[in-house]
Amino acid sequence: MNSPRSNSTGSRATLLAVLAVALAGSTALYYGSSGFRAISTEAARRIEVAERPLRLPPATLSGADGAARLLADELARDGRVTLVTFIYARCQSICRVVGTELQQMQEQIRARGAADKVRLVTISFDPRDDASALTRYGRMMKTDPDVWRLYGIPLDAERRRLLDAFGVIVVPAPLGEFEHNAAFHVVDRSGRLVRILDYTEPGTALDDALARAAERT
Amino acid sequence: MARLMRWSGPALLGVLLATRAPLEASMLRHMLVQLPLLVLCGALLGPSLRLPPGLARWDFQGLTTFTATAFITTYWMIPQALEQALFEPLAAGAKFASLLLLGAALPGALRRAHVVVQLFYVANICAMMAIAGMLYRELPQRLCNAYLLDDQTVTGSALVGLALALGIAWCIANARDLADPPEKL
Repeated sequence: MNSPRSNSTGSRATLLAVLAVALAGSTALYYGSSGFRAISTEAARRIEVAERPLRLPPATLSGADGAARLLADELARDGRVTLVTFIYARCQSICRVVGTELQQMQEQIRARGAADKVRLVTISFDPRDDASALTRYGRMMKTDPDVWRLYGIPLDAERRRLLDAFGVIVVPAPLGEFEHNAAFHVVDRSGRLVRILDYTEPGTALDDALARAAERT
Repeated sequence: MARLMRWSGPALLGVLLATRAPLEASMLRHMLVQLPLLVLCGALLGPSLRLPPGLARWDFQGLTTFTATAFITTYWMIPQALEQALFEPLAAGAKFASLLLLGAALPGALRRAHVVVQLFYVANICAMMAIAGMLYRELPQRLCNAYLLDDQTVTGSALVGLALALGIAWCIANARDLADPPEKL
């Protein structure tokens, strides 16, 4: 049974089978790694959005002022490119980093006189963040409403659909915290998600948004 | 005893289907409990599947099965692929089907394969698993958005452990052949 000579037809058939398996396996690996470019879900999500801009589902935002407005209206309001971030107000870790970066971006946008081209929108995914929690967070972050606005999404179904569309996954973590993928989401003026940049690259994210704002004017 | 063996496969499959949610809630349980148990379940189901004996012609020395094993284990160690199996029914189906079939084919392939052929594939698969495990352990960022970073680190250590355990288990199982190589080749 172990002799190759007594089994030459078997070894030819096996060679074909191995080649077929290797081909199918390589195809699967190619598909599973977004063309050998990504092994993490986050990297794959960023590649996918950069290649195929994504139209966002409808959602009703509720602002720090308590007023409700539609996400699409808010994004198309004044023809600015928007950098969208997701946070929860009582976050002690990653959102703090993002918050500090957003503060600096707000300063930069004002310093460059680009407040009419780019603005920041931060959406909380925590249902506990009502208008007063957002107001408190805004005061702590010294948000300038002309540049940077904070919103919650009161309806559970809408919030879940929007997070799904953005590809933001929120996992409850110990001590009442959440773990979530943080990034800067560039949304163009027609309300399409066009680019996702890492939260460690605020400079690149701002430059990308400014370049897109310049493109269309 | 034979009856027990016949029912153990379907019973384990039932348990695995029923415990999907709790097992898949953590990366460690998903990758190191559910996936290996699916292979075991396939092996238990194997005899009742009654695969045609002619298939062995396509699996000389178990080469086809072992090549498939290398690809299937690698694929399900890609974090993105594992996470897709959480959210996409098609990927979940592919996960169950691929690992069950693998389990069904492995015992026959191991019987057919010479110890040297086995060594080649076992070494390859274990090395791949250990390297993936080290990557999971060392990376400071999360590979799956659905799992916590601590979970990922523990999974990495467990993958390294499983790679070592598989390698050692194989050596023990083949100790006689290794110490005194069989005459026939």
